[in-house]
Amino acid sequence: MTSEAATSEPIIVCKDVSKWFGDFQVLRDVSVTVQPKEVVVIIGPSGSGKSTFIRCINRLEEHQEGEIIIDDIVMDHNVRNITAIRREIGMVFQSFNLFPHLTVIQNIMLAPMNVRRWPRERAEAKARELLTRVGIPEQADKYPGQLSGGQQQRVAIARALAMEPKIMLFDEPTSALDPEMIKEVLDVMKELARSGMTMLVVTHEMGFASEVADRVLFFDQGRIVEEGKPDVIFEKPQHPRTQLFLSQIL
Amino acid sequence: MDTTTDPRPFGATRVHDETQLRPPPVRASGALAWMRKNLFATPFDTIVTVVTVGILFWMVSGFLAWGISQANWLVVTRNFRLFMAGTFPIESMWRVELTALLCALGVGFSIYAYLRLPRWVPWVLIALAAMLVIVPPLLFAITPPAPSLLAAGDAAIASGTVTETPNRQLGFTGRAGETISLEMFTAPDDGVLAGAAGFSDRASAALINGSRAVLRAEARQVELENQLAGDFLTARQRTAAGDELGGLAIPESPLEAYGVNQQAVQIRLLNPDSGEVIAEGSVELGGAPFTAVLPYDGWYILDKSVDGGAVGLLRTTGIEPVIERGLTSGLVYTRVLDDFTVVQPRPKVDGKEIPYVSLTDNQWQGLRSFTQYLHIFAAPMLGMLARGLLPLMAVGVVGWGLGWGLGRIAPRPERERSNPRWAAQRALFPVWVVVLGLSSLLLVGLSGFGPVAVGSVLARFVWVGWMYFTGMAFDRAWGKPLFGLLIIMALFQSLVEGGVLTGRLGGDLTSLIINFIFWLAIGGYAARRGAASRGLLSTRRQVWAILICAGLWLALLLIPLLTGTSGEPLPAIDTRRWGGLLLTAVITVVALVASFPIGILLALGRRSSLPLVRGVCTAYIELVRGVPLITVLFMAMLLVPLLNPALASVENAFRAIVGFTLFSAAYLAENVRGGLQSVPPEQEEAGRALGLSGWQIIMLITLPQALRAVIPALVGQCISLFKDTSLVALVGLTDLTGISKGVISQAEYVGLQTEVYVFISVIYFIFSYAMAYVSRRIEASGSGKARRL
Ligand SMILES: Nc1ncnc2c1ncn2[C@@H]1O[C@H](COP(=O)(O)OP(=O)(O)OP(=O)(O)O)[C@@H](O)[C@H]1O
Ligand SMILES: [Mg+2]
Repeated sequence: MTSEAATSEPIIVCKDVSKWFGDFQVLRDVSVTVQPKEVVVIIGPSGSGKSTFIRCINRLEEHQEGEIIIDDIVMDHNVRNITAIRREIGMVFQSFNLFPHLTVIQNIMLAPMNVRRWPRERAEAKARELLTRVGIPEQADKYPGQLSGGQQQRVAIARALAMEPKIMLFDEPTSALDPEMIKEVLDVMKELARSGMTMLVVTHEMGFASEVADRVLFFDQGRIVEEGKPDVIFEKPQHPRTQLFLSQIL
Repeated sequence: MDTTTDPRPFGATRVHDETQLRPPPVRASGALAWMRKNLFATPFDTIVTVVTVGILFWMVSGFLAWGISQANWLVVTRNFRLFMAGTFPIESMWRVELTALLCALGVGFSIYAYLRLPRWVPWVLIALAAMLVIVPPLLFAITPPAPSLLAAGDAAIASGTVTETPNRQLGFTGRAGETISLEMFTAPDDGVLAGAAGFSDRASAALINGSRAVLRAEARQVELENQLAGDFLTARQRTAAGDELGGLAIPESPLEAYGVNQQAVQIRLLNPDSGEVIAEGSVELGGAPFTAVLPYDGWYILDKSVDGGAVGLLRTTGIEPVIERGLTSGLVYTRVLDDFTVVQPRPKVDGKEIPYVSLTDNQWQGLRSFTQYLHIFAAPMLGMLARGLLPLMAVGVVGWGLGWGLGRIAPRPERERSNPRWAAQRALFPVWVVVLGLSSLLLVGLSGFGPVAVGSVLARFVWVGWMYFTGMAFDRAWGKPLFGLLIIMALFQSLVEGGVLTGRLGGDLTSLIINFIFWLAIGGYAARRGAASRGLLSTRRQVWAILICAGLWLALLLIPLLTGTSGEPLPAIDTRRWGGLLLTAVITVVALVASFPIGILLALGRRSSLPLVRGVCTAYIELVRGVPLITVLFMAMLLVPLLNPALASVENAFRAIVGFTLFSAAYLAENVRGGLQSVPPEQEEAGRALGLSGWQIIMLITLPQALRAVIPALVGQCISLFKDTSLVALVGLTDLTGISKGVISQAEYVGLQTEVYVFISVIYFIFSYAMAYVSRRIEASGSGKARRL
C-alpha cells in the first residue's frame, strides 16, 4: 500500500499546527503529511491531544496557528472550504453519536440526501449496500437504541461512509465497547483499510495497528514524539516516553 | 457450619448443572386477592382504605343528592346551543355543526393513523350508540310524567311582601292525543303541602311557602321550648329565649286561611281560536280526576274557577312549562321537557295575551324523586347528548374508515410493507390542513364568497394535488415545463380571486402577492413531497392523475366564472357572535397553531450566537413570562388600538387570540429550549462532521429530538392554554365561561350558577383529559419517545 502511495500527492498536509485551550497549549507545532490510501494510527497517553488533533482535521476544533490542507483545500475561515472539506472526511466517534430519533437506515441516508442532495432511492440503495458491507443488513429499520454497541459503531461507520469520503477519521472507535464487540468493529475497519481508504485512527488496539497501519504516530503533550512503521515503533521504540507508554500498555 | 459437604477445594472451578426451567409459581389472582394485596395488606392500609372510601362516599353522596333532588338542570339542557356556540346566528348553525363534523372526521382519521385501539373499542362504541338511541325515549316513556301544581280561585295569596292571585285562565301547549289530568292536591296538613313537589305556578308556590313558614315557626318554637326545659342555658340566654318564644307568632296555615280545597274547582278546557269548550267538569277532594284528551296540536286554554273566596290547589299532569324564544321568524314556544314546539302566537282574550305556563312562572318547587329526576332531566339530557354525539361518532368512524381505506388502496413502498397505516400517517398533515382550512372558512365566512370563490378554493386544493403529481414526474422531459405552467396558472388564479373579492381583476396588489406566495409555498411543498415519493405510481398512473387534476382544476375554476352564477353561500359572520365552546376552541386552536412556530423561533433565537437576536428573544420571553396572562389580555384588548389606529378595527376575538399567541409562544419557547438543552452536544458535532449546515442540523437533528423530549410539557401547555381561555370572559368575550353569565341572567334560570359551573367544568375536564390521554398514549407508543442511546 505504502510504496505507490508515497509517491503520489499527499491528501492531508499539516504544517506546524498549534492550538490552545485558554492558556493551555494542546497541540505544539504538529506537522504530518498523509498520502492517499495510507492508514495512520495515532497512539499516546491520555490528554496528549490525539482527539484534538484529529478533530482539527475536520474543523470540529479550530487550530490557531499553522496550516492544514486537505485534498488541496486550505482550511481557513471560509465556510465553503470547511463544508467542502467536511464532505471529504468521514468521522467515527468513541460514543457513536448516532441520531436516536432516526432509524438505522435514516441515519445513514440523512447526509447523502441533505448534503449531497441525492434522491431517496440512490441514498437508500447506498445505505443498504453499506449495511451489508458492515454486516448488519437486517437491522435497517431498527432504532439505534435497539442495537448493541458494536452494531451501533458499525452503523456509525456506515453513516460516515455513505458520504463517500476520501478520508476517514476514527477517534477511539472501540474504547466504549465490550471485548467481544471490539472484534466486529475492528474487522470492518480492517476491511476498509484493505479497500484503500485513507484512515487516521486514534486507538489503543496495538494488534490492529501492527496489522493494518502504514505508520504509527506517538503523541505526547501535544507533540509527535516519534513516528514510524508499526513494527519499528512497537519493537524498538527510540524515545523514552514511547518506551514508557508501550511498556505500560502492552 | 458444615464445610465438608463440598469436597472440592476452595477456588476450584465449578460447573453448574443445567437447572430445569420452571414456570413461575402460581400466585393468587382475582378480585379478592387483588383487594387483599392492594387495599387490606396491613392494618394501616385497611384504615386508610376505609377512611378514603368513607370520605369519597360522603362527598359523592352529597353531590348526588343535590344533583338529583335539588339542582335544576334545565338551565343546561335548554341552553345547550348557547354553551356550544354562543349567539352564533341560528340560520348559520349548520356551519358550526359542519365544522364539528369535519373535526370529528379528522380525529377519526388521526386515531386510525396513530392510536392502536384496544379490541373492545368497537363494541363499546356500538353499545354506546345503541344506548344513546334507545335509552332516552325509553326512560322518558317509563317514568311517570312530571306533575304541575296550579292554583285556582280568586283569593290574593300572601307570600312575604307580595300577594299572588291564581290565574283564572291559563294558556298551555299540547299535542293531539295527549291526555291531561287534574285532581285536587290532597294536603291534610302543612307538612304535606310544604313537601309538595312539581312545577308550581306563582300562587301555588305562595301556598307552599306559607306552609313552609308555618313549619319553620313551629320547629323554632319546639326548639326554644326544649332549650328552656333543659338546664344548660345561662340566665341571659334563658331570658333571650323566653323573649323570643313570647314574640314568636305561628303564622296562620294557608290551608285554613284560604280554605284550600274546601270547594270544588270548575274546570273548562277551551280552544282559544274558536272559543269552543273542548271539555268541562269539576274536581273535588277525594273525587275522580278530571281528564281530557287533546284533539289537536297547539294552544289550549285552561279555565278554572272556585265558588266563593276559596282556593283550589290542583295537581295536574300533561300541562308542562313552556319557554318563549324570539327567532327572526317570530316567537316560538317550546315545552321544556320534550321540545314540543308551537309557532302559533300566544292566545289573546279581549285583546290581551293571557298568562301561559311559562317556565319563569312555573318553577319546580320541592325535592325531586329519582324517577322525576330521570323524567325531567336525565332523559332530555341524554336525548340532547345523543343528538350531538351520534353524528360526531358516526363521522369519526367514517374518518377512521377513510384512513383504513387509504391504507388499502394507496401503494406503499417496499420498506413500509408491514405498516398498513403508512398512507394515513403521511396524509395526516394534509388532512388537518384541509379540515382546519375549511373550518375557518365556515366559521369566518367570506363576503362576496359566491360559487366562483367556492370553485376557486376547491380548485386550489386540486391544484395542490396537481403539484404533487407533477413533483412525481419532475424528472421527465415535460416535468419542468409543466411545473412552470402550473405556477403561471396559480398566478392567474390569484388574479381571479383578487378580482372576485374586490370586484376588479387583480384586486389589491399586496393581498394578491400574499395569496400567490402562500399558495406557491403550499404547492411547492406538495411538489417536494411528490418528488420524494417518486416511483409510488407507474408512469401511466402519474399521467392520468395529472390529467384528472388539470380537468378538475379547469372545471372548478372556469365553469362558475363563465356561467356567472352568483349568490353568497357563506356570508361573513360577525366574530362577536362567536361564543361558548366554539370560541374557546377557536382561541385555543388558533393560538396553539400560531404560537408553535413563534415559540420555536424564539427558543432558537435565545440560543443564537448573534447577541442582538439572543437579546431580543430573551427580553421578549422574560417580559412575557413576567406578566400575568390577564394583563396581556387587557393589553391586547385596550392597548393594541392605541399602538396604531389601524389596529382598532381588529375584532376582539382576534385581539384575544393575538394575546394568547404571544403569551403562549414565550412559554413554548422555554419548553423547547429545555428540550434543546437536553440534546447532547455530540449530536450537533456528529451532524457537523457529516457536513450538514447549521440550519439543517437544527431542523433534522436537534429540534426533532428536543420536541420529542418535551411532548409532555407541550401537552401540559396545550391543556393550560385551553383552560386559560376562560380568562377572556373577563375582557368581555362570551367563551364557555363568559356565556355562563349570560345564561344565568335569563329570567327562567336566575341563580342557577352552581348547575352552570358544574356543567362547564365537566366540559373543560373532558377536553383536558382527552388531551392528557392522547399525550400519554403518544409517550407510551414510543413515537414520541426520544430513543436515547
Ligand atoms: N474543550 C476543551 N476545553 C479545555 N480543555 C480541553 C478541551 N478539550 C480537551 N481539553 C484538554 O486538552 C487536552 C487534550 O485533550 P484530548 O481530548 O485531545 O486528549 P486525548 O489525547 O484525546 O486523550 P484521551 O486519550 O483521554 O482521549 C487535555 O488535557 C484536555 O483536558
Ligand atoms: Mg481522546
